[in-house]
Amino acid sequence: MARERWGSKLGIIMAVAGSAIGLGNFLRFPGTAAKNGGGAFMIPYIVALFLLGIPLMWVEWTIGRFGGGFGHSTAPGIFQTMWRKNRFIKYFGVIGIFGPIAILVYYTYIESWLLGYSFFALTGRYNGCTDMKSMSAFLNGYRGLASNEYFSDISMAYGFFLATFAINSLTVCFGIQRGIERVCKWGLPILLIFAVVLLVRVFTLGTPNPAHPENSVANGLGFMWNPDWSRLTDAKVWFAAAGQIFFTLSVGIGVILTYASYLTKEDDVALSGLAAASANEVAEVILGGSIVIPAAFAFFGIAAIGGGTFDLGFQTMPLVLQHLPMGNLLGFMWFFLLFIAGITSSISLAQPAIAFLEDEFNLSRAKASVIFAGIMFLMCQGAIFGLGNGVLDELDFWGGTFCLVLFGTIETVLFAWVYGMDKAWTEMHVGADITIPRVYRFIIKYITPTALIALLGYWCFQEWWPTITMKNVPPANRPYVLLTRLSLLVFFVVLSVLVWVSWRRRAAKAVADIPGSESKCA
Amino acid sequence: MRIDGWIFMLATWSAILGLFGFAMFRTLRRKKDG
Repeated sequence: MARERWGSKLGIIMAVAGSAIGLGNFLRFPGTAAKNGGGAFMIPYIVALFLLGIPLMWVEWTIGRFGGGFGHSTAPGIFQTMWRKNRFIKYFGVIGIFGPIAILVYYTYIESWLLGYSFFALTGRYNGCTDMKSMSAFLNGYRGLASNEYFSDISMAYGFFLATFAINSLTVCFGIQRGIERVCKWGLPILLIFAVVLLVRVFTLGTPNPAHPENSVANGLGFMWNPDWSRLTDAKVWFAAAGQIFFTLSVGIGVILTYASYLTKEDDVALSGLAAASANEVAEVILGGSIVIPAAFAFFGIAAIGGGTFDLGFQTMPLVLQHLPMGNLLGFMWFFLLFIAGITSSISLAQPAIAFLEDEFNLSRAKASVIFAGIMFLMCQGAIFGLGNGVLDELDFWGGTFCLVLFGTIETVLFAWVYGMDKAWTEMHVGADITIPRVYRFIIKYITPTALIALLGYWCFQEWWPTITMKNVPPANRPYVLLTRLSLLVFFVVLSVLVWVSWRRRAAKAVADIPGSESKCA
Repeated sequence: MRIDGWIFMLATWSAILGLFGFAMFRTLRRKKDG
């Protein structure tokens, strides 16, 4: 089977940027920045970008392209190729397939809310909600957490989930060039145009309510950007910045590695990695940081910011936009831009598992996509119907937090220490359109792994024990959380067995391919 | 917003736009050359 390739360099840059640009850019970043010192937060944020984010981007692009040269698109095969002597390393690579699936299980459902809200915005369905309380009731009714005057059951949300699931499945079924690349090439420009329109609209709001002159866009920006220098001495702020950089760039998941495996040996990774990272930063810092908080602040003051950025996105923003001329259209643009951000991320999350089935079990793209879609559909039911029981938070912790940092640490140590920095540096520069500053040899070998290990240790210290003991989980939800945990464990074991089987088959095939091996056996 | 807030915002925006501009300029120039 001929290996798939990207159609153009810009195509893969947009696909990787699309994977990185997600809901976190528009919802998580502004809240994290505002909570951690405003403008002062940007100092550790930029430091983390250059010491952690960009080096990890280069590491993932390089090892992905390297593994692709040996016919592997996923971490088990790539890790094994980089450390041939260690037969267990491929099982660590399972995290690079498991993590994206765990995220995708709940991400698809959240993404479908955005499609639903895009539709509601256009049709004016939530226009009757005039305060936060009614908007919150609307959201809870939609998600099936309450039966109220807006929704009597979950059927509407389930319909939009089916539509979103179908869009994702069809896109990945069409493959790298005709599916993923095409969607990202169309989706990202639309997302950027919508975001710029909203940005301009928010910046021209001024002081919407003259009775409250303190509630203005400028003061909203001040809430985001006024530096609180005292926060710089707080380790939590530095870890928050490192965490934000880590999550926003989609590093440590295993998707960039898979995307880069479809490059040819001569394709550049140095400039492309930088381009994708910087595109994500434009979307996050300039667009994401300038829409939600200033808009919410201008209309509702500082009180509106306290509810968390998820509430800001789903409750405050629709209320704000309703107050404006063409509010329904602006509301549609807001939710649809988030939906596009979600789609370009979710298709990237599906790719490692599909690539694994294609590469290691010689399945066609269509067959691999259908099998994957079937399994995913069943798994998503847990996130949909267990939403009110803490299932989503549990999936987010293991898939979206723990696995990311663990996988990032493993791949960096493997790249810089096991594969060796000399070979790694040469590999990074094969076909490179820029020369990476030599200081990055030191950074990738020492600083990035140290920062990752510190981040992993910090999270284990902060979250491991309360999570393991379900300290913050209400007693009624504990059986659901336990069941989710058990399901994830079983799923990880199943993936590990699949890796074992595929390597056994590969070894058997290699023996069979040796001339004269059959007669010898006979 | 305070003056130091404006400075921080504009400095950060400039740094990120500069990085993005450099990366995209080099990428698209190379594409044209190729």
